[in-house]
Amino acid sequence: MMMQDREDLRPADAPPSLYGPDGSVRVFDDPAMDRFVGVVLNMASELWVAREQIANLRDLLARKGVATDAEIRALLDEAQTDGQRDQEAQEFVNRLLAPLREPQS
Amino acid sequence: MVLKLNHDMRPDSTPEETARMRFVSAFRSFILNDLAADMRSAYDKRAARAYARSNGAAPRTSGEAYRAMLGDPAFEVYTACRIYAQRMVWDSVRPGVEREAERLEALEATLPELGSLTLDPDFVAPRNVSALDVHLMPGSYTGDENSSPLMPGAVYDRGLAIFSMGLMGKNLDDIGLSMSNYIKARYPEFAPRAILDLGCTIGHNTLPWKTAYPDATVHGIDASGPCLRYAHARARLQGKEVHFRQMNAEALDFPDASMDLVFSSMFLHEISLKTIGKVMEEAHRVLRPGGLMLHMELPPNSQMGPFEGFYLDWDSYYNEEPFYKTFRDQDPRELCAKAGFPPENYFQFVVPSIGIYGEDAVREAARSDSVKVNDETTGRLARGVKWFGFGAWK
Repeated sequence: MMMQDREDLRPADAPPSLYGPDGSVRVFDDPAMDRFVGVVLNMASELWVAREQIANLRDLLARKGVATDAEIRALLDEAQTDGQRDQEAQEFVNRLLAPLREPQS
Repeated sequence: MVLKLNHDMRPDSTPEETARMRFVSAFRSFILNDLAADMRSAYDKRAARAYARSNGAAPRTSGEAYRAMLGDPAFEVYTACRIYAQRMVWDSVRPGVEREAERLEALEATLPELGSLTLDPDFVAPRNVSALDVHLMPGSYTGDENSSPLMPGAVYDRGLAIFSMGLMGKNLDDIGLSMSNYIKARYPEFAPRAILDLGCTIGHNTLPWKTAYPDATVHGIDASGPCLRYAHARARLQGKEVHFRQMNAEALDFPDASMDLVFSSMFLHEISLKTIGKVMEEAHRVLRPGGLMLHMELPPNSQMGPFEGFYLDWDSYYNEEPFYKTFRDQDPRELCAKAGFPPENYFQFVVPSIGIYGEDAVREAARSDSVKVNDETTGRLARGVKWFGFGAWK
């Protein structure tokens, strides 16, 4: 929603410093900081997603007796030339760093 | 934790979605417990003292405590993390709802007829719903042009499951359960035949009233048609007969003296002071003599210390709930009196979460008539939460 459409819906005693030049709420004096907080938190979230997935898969592989550690390491060599992985990495970066972008209208 | 909702519209999440939900739930717990404690410590050690040096006295009101905290690093870290965590809540559930839109509608089509759903195609949502992303929820309660019919309700249900970190129970009904059990214990002779829940959204706190008073006709109204449609499906999934109608609480389409209990939860702080006045006058009008108006809400600033008040005021500034502080600055007894309820018929209470403390604790609270609100659990969605309520008899 457009910020200028809802100025009448701001809290009655909001301090002027609450809003940045674009009318949206800001926390830090330097607006770049607000955006970098998002990056850091996205990274933390995605790191946990990865850890949980790896833990799930390792448990499964071990439970089924499917793969040894050496076989898993050998997979990495194949992955380095895998275009699908490159695309996945790009999508990962785009999502992770989305807060760095200007607001998309 | 990733709370598993106890009805069949719960998400069928991918492993990645589950992991994101688990992260944001853990992150919110860290913010609301650990970072909140750090902020309290910073207030006592730094911010309040600095404010006193500049102003000749420590903060006396929640507004002064807020000004004392502005610029403090503990406040800034807490605030930045909490805002972003709030966005992550909705982001963690929205993809699953989009993917499962067809499944939800197919499931809805199989549900037996029970209760009713009445939507108003000419209804115009009030600006506090249509012009804000309430709780930073994209599309607010009504969704946007890309929303499937059940999407706003499903996003709210699933988001609340993450947001609440288990503190609202598996059916997100801890507030309704705690309140209804408290009223039954404190007023055992009260036997409402018609109950109305104002601003019921997905009906999560409406259903407990049907459980508490199975012979009563239970109505839930809201401004959001999509939330009501989801609420009706959710109620039928749980075998609860509730009548949902799209309606503005300022202008109730119910006859005079037709209700015994008019209830709301977390509703008044989302509407303007002017609207609160109209809503309470309408509640008074539709209540029968001897009926009860009851609201579960955040406790008033006048009964809390400056820091405790500021802590709750936070949502007014940073969570797209601009009327939150204005409501909490009011005296609820006066609000009830202005709407026609005799001041001597007012009561307020604090009820311990029934999910955390158990039924005996709720009954004990009803016996003890506890009204103390100024602590760090009342109204806070954190470990050991207790709920504040107030009401008045007509």
